[in-house]
Amino acid sequence: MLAGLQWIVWCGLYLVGHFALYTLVLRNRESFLRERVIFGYHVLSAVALALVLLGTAVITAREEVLIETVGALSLHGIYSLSFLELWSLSEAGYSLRILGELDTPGGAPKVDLALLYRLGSSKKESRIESLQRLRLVRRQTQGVSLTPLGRVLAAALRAIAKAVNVKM
Amino acid sequence: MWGVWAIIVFVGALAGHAALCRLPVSGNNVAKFLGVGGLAGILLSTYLISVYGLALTTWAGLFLYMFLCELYIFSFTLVHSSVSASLLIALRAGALTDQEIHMRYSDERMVDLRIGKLLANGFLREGDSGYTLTDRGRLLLAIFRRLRGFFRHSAREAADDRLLARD
Repeated sequence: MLAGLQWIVWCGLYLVGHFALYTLVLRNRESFLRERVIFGYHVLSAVALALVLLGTAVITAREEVLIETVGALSLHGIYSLSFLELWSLSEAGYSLRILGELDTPGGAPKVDLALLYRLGSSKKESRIESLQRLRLVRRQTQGVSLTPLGRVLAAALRAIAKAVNVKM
Repeated sequence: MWGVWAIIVFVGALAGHAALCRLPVSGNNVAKFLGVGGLAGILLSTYLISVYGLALTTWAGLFLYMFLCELYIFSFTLVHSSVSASLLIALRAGALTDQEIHMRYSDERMVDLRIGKLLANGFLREGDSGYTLTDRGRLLLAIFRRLRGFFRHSAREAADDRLLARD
């Protein structure tokens, strides 16, 4: 039991350190205002953690290392996914922007929806550009189409939509 | 076997959630999964503790299960609400011209869909004078405004504006 608790404490301390470094130092740097840099900060940290754990396994030849690695990466995954989702939602959450536009004393009259429609238009354009940058779609003469990578991701998303009975 | 059990229980939770989404049960998909996934998580904890005690193996199995659940919630909420995810799925049937994309995702439709969801989830209410935020909506907005400050998104937008002005 103690061995398990000790392992969790070390993992927790590592993640607290990762978050503290971002909070106290990195978030004040201009480069860390970019989505790609933030994403890389989390991916590199997870890779580094896995390498350290596997390296320790080679040196110490302990049997528990697979369990520790899976557990540590799962914990890191829970932390990183929560962090990145909050980062992304607070940056560009469409619903939140609508709430923000309607947050006026006494509410917003229906005619102001034109403003929200313009918001929808800009959101759509930026999304197509983002998908192009991620190499998930490409522009050709006949219009926008999926790349092979985009096709794989689209198939996975379709499977999830089917599972939760979402009509697309 | 601890990892295998975590995955088996997770697949069971997915199946339970898929079934629940097809039944006339009230509540949104996240709440439904939290119910099914939480129950499955309790069963997994009970099994792992009974076999391994409060050992490393039990914790690793539970963290793996929790991570898979979070990844799944993230994925289906993405499918449900993301413009990008919807567009990717639509493109499976073939290329779309800009005009077809604009028709399919008209600004009015996108905003109306979001407002419908905000109304259904109790973040907005519709009155005679238009839409107003509920207390729940105001709380959500306040939380995300704080997060926006923490992540310094406004600073990035200002930096982008400076770059545009320079160009």
